[in-house]
Amino acid sequence: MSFEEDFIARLHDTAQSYRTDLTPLVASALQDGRRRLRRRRAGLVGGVAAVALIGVGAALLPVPVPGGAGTVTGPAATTSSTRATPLPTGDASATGRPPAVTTGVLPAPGPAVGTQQLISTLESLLPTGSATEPQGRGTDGPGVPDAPDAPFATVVFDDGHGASAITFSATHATLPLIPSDTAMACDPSISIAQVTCTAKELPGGYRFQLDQLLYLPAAQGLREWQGYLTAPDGTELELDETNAAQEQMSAKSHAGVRPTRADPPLTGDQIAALLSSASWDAVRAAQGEWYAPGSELNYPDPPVSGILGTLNSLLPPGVTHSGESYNAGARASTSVELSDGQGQGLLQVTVENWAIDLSANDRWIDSATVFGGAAVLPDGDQLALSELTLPAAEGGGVERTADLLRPDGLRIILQESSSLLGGGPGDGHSEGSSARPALVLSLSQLQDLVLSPKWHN
Amino acid sequence: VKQAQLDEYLEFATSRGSHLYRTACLLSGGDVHLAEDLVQETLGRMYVHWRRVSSADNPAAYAHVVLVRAFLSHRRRRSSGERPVGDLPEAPVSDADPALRLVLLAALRQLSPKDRAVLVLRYWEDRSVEETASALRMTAGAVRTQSFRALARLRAELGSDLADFVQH
Repeated sequence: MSFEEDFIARLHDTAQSYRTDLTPLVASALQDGRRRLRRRRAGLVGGVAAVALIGVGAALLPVPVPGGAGTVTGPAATTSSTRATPLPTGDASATGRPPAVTTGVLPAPGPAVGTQQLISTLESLLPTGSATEPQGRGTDGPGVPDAPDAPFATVVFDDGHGASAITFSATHATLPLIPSDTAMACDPSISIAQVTCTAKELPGGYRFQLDQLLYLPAAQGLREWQGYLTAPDGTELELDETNAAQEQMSAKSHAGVRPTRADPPLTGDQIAALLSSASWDAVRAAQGEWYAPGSELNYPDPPVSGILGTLNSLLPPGVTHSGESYNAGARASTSVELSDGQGQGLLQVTVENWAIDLSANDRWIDSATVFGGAAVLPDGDQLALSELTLPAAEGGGVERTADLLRPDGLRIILQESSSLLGGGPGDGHSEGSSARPALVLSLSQLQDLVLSPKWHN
Repeated sequence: VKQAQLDEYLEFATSRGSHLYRTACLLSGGDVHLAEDLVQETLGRMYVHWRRVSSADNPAAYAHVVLVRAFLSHRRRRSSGERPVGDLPEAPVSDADPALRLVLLAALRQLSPKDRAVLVLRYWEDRSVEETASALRMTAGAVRTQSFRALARLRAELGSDLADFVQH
């Protein structure tokens, strides 16, 4: 049995051995989905009007300015259509420093690059020859929601010495750049007979790697060169060329493929030059949609250990809390059950660092849409207040939210629910646990809480 | 979300949840807490898009794309959440011989997340090179190269151990 077969057998055994109780997991997922849906709705509505209905019975409310004049209403955040695109000549963004955060400016990805533009750009950068059988997918091409497929352009190129399938594609490497995680560097500890790897640093923090694959059996003579140009912001452009007219040969399917020439047409230097062309700037810019530039590792969330202490010092007289629970999931938060002597409610406190979201538009977090309708306070804070009446089908009840985003990226979310379990049918919780006529804290009290300078510590 | 759609979603989440969880356990190198977070996030995203997703040809395949991208994205946002290499993950619940699995999981954790994702999609999900490339936004060539390298690294890590396991 080969190592690969052994590995597959052991991998399957290991995977099959895991079991979990799906009931709470599915219930948590449903709550997660509902929260996401509410944030999405709030964002979409907020971009249109300052005061508008959200879902069923909810409104994004005007925000009184503390100690100031009158009421400020959104929309708050402006969106810039420009995005810094570092070039190989180097600039500030190539230093790896976290980008500066500017209040109210949420850089957006550049405009989408269409399929035809991608193909035309590739053709324009190839040496003299013919380019036929174009295929491609633009940066706005089909994909699954929230996760578009990578853009690419493919042509069969012939410089007069034999046809070659050439494919350009664009993706994004994990940040910070880790050699073994990307095609970024040749790992000397891994020697594979049929792959020759060379890498070099380029000005401005750019790196270029060339993998030269020789397909087995060697006598067949099939070769594929893959060049990767990775920018400091993680955008990665790739050019893949073969010495056959078929694109992207696979281990199983290249049996009938015949080489048309000894080597693919472009040298490594030619691939590096082609990928370094400023003609791809628009593609790099459009890539910003999926991953934010800058290392998210530079933006850890604030510690949650201080949440409870801060909350204790801020609750109004007569309001006590109990039943603390801590959620260490993707969005760390603390939940407490509040009591004012007349009933109970659930308050969830979440403190996050959104510096990365302010510095770039991360479509997975929807910073622009979530705060698109928030009020901007004099110090640059963005505050969104909302009160959501949950439909009866979702268990009924009321949910109040004070959501603050500071210019430095600190985000504090106070969400109070009349349902102790915050959900409805299908959550795996009984419906009888919800329902009290009024929440413990008013929206005004939530606002006072969230605006307290004590959170800054 | 209408009741019929909610029922459909819950049926999907319940029927696919176990498989998603197992995939997530491999991706996380045996960190069951991270695996649960990833499944929750994946199914949460599925809920938001359920009306569109449910009409797709293969919602299950979509879920796995979302899962693996959530895993890679999660690492960017929450790298500190992952335990340091060498801190052995928890043993699977129904593991008859946990030591053997733990060695494999520890070796997986030595790989980069993207390498892990390539191997899990190719060898556990049994996805083709092209499907793996699409899910990870890589080209087929890059998937092959990364797969070669990841397997070579694993072989270096536990070559003889793995053979022993199989003969065990």
